[in-house]
Amino acid sequence: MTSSLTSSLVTTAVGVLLLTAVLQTWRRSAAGSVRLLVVQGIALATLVAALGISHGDVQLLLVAAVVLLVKAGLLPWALGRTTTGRLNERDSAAQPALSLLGATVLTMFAYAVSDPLRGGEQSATARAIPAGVALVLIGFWILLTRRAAVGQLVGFVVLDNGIAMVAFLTSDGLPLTVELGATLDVLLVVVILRALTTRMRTTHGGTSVDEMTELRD
Amino acid sequence: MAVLLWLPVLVPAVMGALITWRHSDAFARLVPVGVALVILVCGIALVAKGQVTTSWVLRADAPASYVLLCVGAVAVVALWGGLTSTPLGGRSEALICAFLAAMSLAVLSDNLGVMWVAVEATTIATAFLVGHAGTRGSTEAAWKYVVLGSVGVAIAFSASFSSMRPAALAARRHCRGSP
Repeated sequence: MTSSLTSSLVTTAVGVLLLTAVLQTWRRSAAGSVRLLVVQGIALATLVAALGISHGDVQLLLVAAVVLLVKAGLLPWALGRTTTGRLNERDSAAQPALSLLGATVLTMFAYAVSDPLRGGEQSATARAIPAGVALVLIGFWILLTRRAAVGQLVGFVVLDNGIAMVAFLTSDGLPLTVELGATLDVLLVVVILRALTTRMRTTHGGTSVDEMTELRD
Repeated sequence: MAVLLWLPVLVPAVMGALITWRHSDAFARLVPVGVALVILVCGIALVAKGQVTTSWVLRADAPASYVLLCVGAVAVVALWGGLTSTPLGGRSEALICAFLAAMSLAVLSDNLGVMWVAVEATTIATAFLVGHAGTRGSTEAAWKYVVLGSVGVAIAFSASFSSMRPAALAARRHCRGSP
């Protein structure tokens, strides 16, 4: 009973994670992207909690609480915080149809190549690994296609969520200290990049990455 | 000689905290050079000793000792050369100390996870040093540095736990008793 419940929890969480990542490629407004990140963080925390329940591991439940706090709370808060109070940036160069197509191809690619990571296992967690790889690839895709600074940050966070997801699914959770360090490092990186965005607005007059053309060969 | 392993990590960390707590300009200028000298001396001592030293999560074998020596040597030369330039104003010296502590920890740690966290910490500590001038060019450099650096380190993270995957699978099969 419990095992079927946790395995369906894992499947649902993985589905939500993949769906939010694909929707990210379609959203153009920064505020919408940040809201999607909150949902993605909650799904990631649910996944970790479900793994913790199925292994009977209290440490994993602690990690789930940290993940929920950072990925669904602090990270989106740091991303969405602006001096004006409202985040109303739009990525004018984004092409939703093309981005969605790219995300589809990358997801199929991820399912095709991640057999070695599964190691021939058929459990619900092992079947979810390709979705994690897809999240990593989609994160890269967002990083490549977005021109606005906040959009690129969202791509970085999706990439990191994907890596964390693969880490939880393949190694049954990393040591608590490493997981804490990794999560806090990502939070710090996002805070620093957010501070740089504010400075970019004063020096460049905008946050488009296209404006940054001074350092070239 | 566990102290040789702990000094390069703890001295920069403590001194960096001291600078942020209370700094006079002269003190803040000289501390990074002194810290770099400590790392260099520990590196030389470890190389001269020539055998594997371990202490809790730290471990120095021959390559690690040589890399620590290189870190110390480069830091001493660079910071000594920087003494003549204008003072950075306390905060930057503290960041330099944090960077040196993270660098030593990355070289000396005996755990892939801790090493990864330390490498990421070097990126974080140096991000504001790269963008210190606050001009167009420096902001652009800092942005590109942090994005490229942290994405690269994130991929290194996935590689480090993927390398543990075969062992984990084997252990699980062993537990179940199937071949």
